[in-house]
Amino acid sequence: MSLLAYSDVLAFLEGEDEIPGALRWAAYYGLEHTWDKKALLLTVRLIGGSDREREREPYLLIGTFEDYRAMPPAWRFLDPRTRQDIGLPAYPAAGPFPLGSVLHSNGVICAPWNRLAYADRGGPHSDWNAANWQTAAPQHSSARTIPDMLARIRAELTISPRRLASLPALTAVSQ
Amino acid sequence: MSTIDATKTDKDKQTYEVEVFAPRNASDRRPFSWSKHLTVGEAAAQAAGVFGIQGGQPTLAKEGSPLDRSKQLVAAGVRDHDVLEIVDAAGGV
Repeated sequence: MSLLAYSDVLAFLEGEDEIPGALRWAAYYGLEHTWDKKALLLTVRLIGGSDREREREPYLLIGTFEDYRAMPPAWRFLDPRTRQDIGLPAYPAAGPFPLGSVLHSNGVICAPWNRLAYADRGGPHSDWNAANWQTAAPQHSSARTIPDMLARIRAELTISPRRLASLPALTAVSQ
Repeated sequence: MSTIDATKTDKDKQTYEVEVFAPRNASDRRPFSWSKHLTVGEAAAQAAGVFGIQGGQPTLAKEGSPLDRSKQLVAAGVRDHDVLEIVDAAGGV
């Protein structure tokens, strides 16, 4: 059950530092992106590591914003070819991020600013409370606005060496 | 921002003139003049304060790559006239 009305969430999201800032940020880096205002769904196509030596490949990041900012966004990676949820192969592996990556080996962006990091949404953290996501884990990654979150994820992708697992063959995805 | 001395090479310069922006408004670049021996963490914290970014452990990213907060700017690869982005660097889990 939702905590906030659609109009309340949209009002937060339309703040200058939130979705408008995220769209400016994506445009600045020339990243393909979409914003579905009705569904409150943001997509950004990022570039990250590949198993093929010296190559880079696309990663499709999706953000959904139910109850934002009472709750953090839900960030996930999908199959960049089909937009399907394929689990580990959609996710980048952690690179040598200086103080520790938020890219968890089980296929979740593990930070207090991702709703999917919390145990009640299948994440590893039963010790965090999503209702106070901005202060839940002060020793860990902090991002207070959507552009700040995107910048952190892009920085992670930039130094990620590969996917967590190889993309499945397209025929296997469609079955 | 001080005048740039084009006769000095990067190695000679003790101070780097750089521009920094926050992700929320990439077109709002602010000039900073930093000793090349300042640590990335100190520089990033200073810039974060100017942009009103609170909490976390900010670092600077150059061409998308996050820089090690413990290194001096020169050792982290920052050069005169670089454009840098503020990115959170605190650990994940």
